[in-house]
Amino acid sequence: MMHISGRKRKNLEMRKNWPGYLLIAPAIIAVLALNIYPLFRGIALSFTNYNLVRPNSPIFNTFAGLSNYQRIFTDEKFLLSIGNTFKWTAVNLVAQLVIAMLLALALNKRLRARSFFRTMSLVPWAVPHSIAAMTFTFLFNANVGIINILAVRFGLLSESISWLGNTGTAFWCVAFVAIWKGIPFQMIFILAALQNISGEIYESAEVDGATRWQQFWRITLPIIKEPLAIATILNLIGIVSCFNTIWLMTEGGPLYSTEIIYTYAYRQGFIVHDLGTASASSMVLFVIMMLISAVYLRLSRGDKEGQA
Amino acid sequence: MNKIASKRDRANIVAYCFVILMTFIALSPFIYVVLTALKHPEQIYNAAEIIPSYITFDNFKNVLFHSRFLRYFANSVFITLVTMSISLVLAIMAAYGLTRYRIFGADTLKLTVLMTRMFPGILLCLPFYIIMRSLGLIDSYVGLIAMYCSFTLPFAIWNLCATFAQMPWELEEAALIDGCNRFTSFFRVIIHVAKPGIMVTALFSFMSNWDEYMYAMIFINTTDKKTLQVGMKDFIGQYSTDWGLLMAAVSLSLIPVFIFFAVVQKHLVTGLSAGAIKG
Repeated sequence: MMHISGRKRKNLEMRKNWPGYLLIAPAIIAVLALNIYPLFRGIALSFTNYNLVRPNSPIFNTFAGLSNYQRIFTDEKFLLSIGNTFKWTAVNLVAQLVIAMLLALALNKRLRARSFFRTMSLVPWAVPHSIAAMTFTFLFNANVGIINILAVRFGLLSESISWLGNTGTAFWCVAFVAIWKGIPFQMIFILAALQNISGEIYESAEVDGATRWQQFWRITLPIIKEPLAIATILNLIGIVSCFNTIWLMTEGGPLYSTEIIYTYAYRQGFIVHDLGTASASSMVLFVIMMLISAVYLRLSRGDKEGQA
Repeated sequence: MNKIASKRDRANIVAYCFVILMTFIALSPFIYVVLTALKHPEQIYNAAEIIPSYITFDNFKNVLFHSRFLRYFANSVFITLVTMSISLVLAIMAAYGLTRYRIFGADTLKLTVLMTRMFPGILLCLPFYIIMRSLGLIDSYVGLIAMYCSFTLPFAIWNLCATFAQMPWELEEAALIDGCNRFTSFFRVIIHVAKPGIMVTALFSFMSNWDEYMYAMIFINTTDKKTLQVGMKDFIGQYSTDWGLLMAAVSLSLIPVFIFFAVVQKHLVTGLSAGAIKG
């Protein structure tokens, strides 16, 4: 009885809510076709022999077992790219987080021309990655780059350096550009969170004799903890897949010193033309990102419970 | 009154210095880009001419009239606007449906959509290559726009769901009492209240499409079909040492971004925080 009445109720609900289903149908179909289906094709591809250089080979497009994964985990370049990915992520994340936090705190003060400064500090975010990469490639250029021109002129360097051509400097130059471009995104989230804190809390803290430093650690940080964590994780996903900046500045070189998993997967797929190993390496990246997003989901759910 | 303000200014002197420094770091590359674009070739290599003593508009003329720049530009505008419109229309419909009707499994659907934001672009790119090849959609805008929707649509749905969920039901009830039906109440009331969220969603969609480089590089082969970001790379190959020309192209390519940004940025903090943080 319960079962039937439950179903009846569901039927009734369906009849009342049918316009809703109609409205969501196109978007859901699009997400299924454009995200979910390719995802499963991609997973399958990582277990398939799919080397486009040898399309007539008898094993082309056959089940490969774990051999693609075996191949990448025995490839020194891939292992190097995993190390680079962690180094890249750590450097970017720490620098962006610290600078964005300071900038948001400064922009949250009652400064003159605050909205001008706020808009201007968002400029790097608005500039396309490829344009930023080309601009900085020009600035770092050994012959015409202003960094070399100024450094030589003021005697900091005896002669021009090929910043992007040396294994010692290329990584840091590319990271600098990614940090420059990434700060505003992180900053705007922190600023939005800071604006929700009322000034009265600080006033009463000041009455109680709390120093600025204590106010930050005891009041500001605990309040913005949750949005900060969510923004950081979103930012992290952007950092891990920061392909354009790296590819346009160094193409992963010199000597793979700027190769991260993302560029490795691209190289395997569209330069080596082995889609099997490319998929396997992008799956490794996917697993890392899924772990990150699991944390993200738990945080945003915690946030919801807090609101309710 | 003035005394208090100037006292506050003195207290904030560190903040001022830091903010001015960051603004300088943010803007100076582009000031130098524009300066370079205004130089003759021989000035670019001359350390004494960092700020040019005489300027030329030849680079801009050459980019506009003697290169494919405008063609690439038009291609990018077309792809960006079409993708943005498709994602916005589908996402507004879906967000309205998900928040204003009782949908079976709505939370699961929203979570699934959110998860797709975590897919690295390269992961979908590889199977897309095989799928598009079997559909004959390589080197076609239909294929490219479909793939662009794969990353703009999930964000748009997610952000607009959050926007619509925050709007009180009473708004619609009032409109219904005033004689609107659901359809007219949507177009007369909801869409105006949801404007900041819709604008920010549009901004993100615009930026991520205008910005996109990898898919366009892989899937578009015909020169005349290239998007601006990919076409710019051609500039480097085509005129391997003409930095003035490239910098003129860079300056021009930033104009639409800044216009769009200027229009939308006042909604940014409200629209974005609503969607992404409170999810």
